[in-house]
Amino acid sequence: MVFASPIFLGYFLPLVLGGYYLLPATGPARNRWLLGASYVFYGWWDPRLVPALFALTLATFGLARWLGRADLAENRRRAGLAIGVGLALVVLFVGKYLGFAFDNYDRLAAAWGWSAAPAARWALPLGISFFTFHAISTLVDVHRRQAKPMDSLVDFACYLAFFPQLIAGPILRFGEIAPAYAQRRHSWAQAASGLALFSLGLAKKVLIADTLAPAADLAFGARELDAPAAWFGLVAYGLQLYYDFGGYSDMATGLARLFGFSFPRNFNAPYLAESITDFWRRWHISLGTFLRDYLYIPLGGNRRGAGRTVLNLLIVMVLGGLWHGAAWTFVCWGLWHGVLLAAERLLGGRAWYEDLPRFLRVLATFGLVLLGWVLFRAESLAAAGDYYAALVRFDGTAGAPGRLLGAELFAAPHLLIMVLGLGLMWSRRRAHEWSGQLTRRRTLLCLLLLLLALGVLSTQRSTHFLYFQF
Amino acid sequence: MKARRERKFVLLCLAALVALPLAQWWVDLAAGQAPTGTVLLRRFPTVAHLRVAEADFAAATARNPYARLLAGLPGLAWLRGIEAPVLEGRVVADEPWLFYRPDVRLVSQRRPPGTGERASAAILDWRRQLAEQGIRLVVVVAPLKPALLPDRVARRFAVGGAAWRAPEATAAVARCRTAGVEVVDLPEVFAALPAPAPGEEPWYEPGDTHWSQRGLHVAADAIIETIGWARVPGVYQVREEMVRRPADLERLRGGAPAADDRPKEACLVVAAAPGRAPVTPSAGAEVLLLGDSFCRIFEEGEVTGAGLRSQLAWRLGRPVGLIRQDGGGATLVRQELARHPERLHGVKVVVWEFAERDLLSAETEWAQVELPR
Repeated sequence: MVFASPIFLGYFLPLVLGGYYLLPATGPARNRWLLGASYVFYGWWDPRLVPALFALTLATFGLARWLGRADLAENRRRAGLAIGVGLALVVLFVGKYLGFAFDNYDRLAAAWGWSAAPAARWALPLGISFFTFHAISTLVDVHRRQAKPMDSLVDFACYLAFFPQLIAGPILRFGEIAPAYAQRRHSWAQAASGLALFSLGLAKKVLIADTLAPAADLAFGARELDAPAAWFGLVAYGLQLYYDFGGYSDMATGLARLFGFSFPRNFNAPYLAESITDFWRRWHISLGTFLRDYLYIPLGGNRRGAGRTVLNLLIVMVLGGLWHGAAWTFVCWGLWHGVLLAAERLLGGRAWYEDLPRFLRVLATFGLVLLGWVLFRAESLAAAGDYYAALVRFDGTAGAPGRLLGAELFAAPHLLIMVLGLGLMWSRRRAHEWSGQLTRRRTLLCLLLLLLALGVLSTQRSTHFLYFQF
Repeated sequence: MKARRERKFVLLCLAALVALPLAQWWVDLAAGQAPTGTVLLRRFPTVAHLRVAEADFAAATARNPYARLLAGLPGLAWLRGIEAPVLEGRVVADEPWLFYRPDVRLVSQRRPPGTGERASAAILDWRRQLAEQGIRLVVVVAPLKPALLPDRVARRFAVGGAAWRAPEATAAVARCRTAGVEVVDLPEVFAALPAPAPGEEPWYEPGDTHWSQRGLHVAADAIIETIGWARVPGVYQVREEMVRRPADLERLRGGAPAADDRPKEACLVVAAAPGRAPVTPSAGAEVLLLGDSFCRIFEEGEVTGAGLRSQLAWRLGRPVGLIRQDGGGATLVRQELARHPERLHGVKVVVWEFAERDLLSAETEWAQVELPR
């Protein structure tokens, strides 16, 4: 089930919300209800995966309780942490990377005459990258004594499976969110701000991202591509990705507010970043901070000299790339960002274009990020290479495929939505805060956007969010 | 004041959402059906059942009066024109030229690896089976309109007048020819001809995915040349008729001109010569035509007896049998023939027409069909 679908909006959400507020505010009833709803939400995709999610929940809950014991020796706590984190990583590896590993092994096997890997391949279990990270966050935070383990299995299962963040985040730090499962406040103001943020997110997804998606698909799937079409398609994809994932994060945060939770902001105008370092403070903030706190700093961070810092950055970004998808394109995308971050680190934490005016710094950063998105979007490294070549192909010798592509690509609605998307992106308004201070005009706008989005959704198939594949 | 506004906003938002199922249930109950969604309570939730339920929800939403009301909000129709997966896309080029959007994408977009290979395998297998019964196969590939007329798609992107050929289609045809299949490759035939001058009748109808009478005659001549039979004189005669026909892309786009507003076309209608049997019966024909909607045009509907089957019959001076399925040129017509093998009695040549689209589209099924012996 996806947020941007009539079944979620018309049936699931009102039912869950209605049931939630009919239950007593004190006691475990509301969390139980949310847990049941979350399992239905997850099981809607494939009910067979719910027991697997519950098994991981049970194992993590037990280990966290054990790690939280005050009388446990340090070496046993470390062993418990290693087992728990290892288990989550094994689940992640088997669910997400085993097929990729087999494919690569098969390529080597074909070259060296070895026997082939087992033919077992399966679809990526939805949300696996997120709930395994939540499990790791629990164990690490409890081990570090930054949080106490939860007393209630229902509360913990609800944290791991809470439907607004189950499929595509944001990644919630256990230590920060856990207290809300025991006690949280509800108010009309919070519900209104939640619905406003949800409406904005839905509109971002349905009206902007989904409108630009065909332009990006056309460019990346083209037989013939010249530089204007390639750049147009790339900008369209950059905007689609931002409004799709940013819209999803707004919806998730808005939904959480409806149930009394407060999620941290996951985006902060990332395309206004003035350097790649700045970009990673603004883009998918919950992933960036997770990787920083649970990987980069344990690796030594920047405390062991320049060489080790560069190495740590490369390791973190390559793994971050691999987290996005089991493909070499994602590894290279991570490497691209790792190299750029390392270069900025070696320059003293500043971009090499630091001396340019701010507008040009933003533009340069946007350009570097866009170049990275080619790897992120391309089906293969070869396809990415072809796309990079097209970005500098100004010979204007496009044949019929190129001309027909242009006829569809440079359509007025694409241009208009792109301009709108760029304008909104570079404006100073932030949905997260904007929705928290509702005026009459804002409420009317949100209501109108909700109706418009419902209108679009009612006449087309629901489209999946790009980050569902991760 | 602020608290009241927030409360009102929450309630209005929820009402906007809840109206979706309420309107649906009202329609369902009025039609005497179980409310949409209750199917979930009656079936065990397997993956397959959930996907079916999801499809039911989507289909129900498309009929939902509230959803339709919202869909009519200003500006949305314009937005949906970009990509309308349910309503079907269209490309309006320079009026009156219209193109089917999926056809345009077959030209502009890369095809998956192996495109055309299943087609050539199925063609070779079909030829083998017919040859075993002593029947000759002539394959006819009907051109893809945007590939034949790329400059008509959008004048601002037009830089030349040449037709274009998808390499996957060229390769599939080459594989068939190498294996000895007789192929009337109409995209190749059209590309070799000088383009109609301005003011002359074009090969394809501007508002239709199919050929015009002029294009049809080019196709019929090329097929007859390949069959290579001399004409039996005196069996058929032709007369010119001016007719009005609806155009499929105009209809698909909506707001098609009324039948009376469409221009009349000159059609060569084939009829039996005086004292001869009517054209339509085809039992016992030596030539059997299998094909898709390209075989329907001018043969059924507003004008009859002027389509590909009739034009072949006139040129051959012999009756031509027809098995036709719109959009089913690749597989459905062969399956139909396999269900009625008696249609092959007395047949010496099977002319099998399918659209170039079928060679390129990943959605076209190219099933291996077994002919009963």
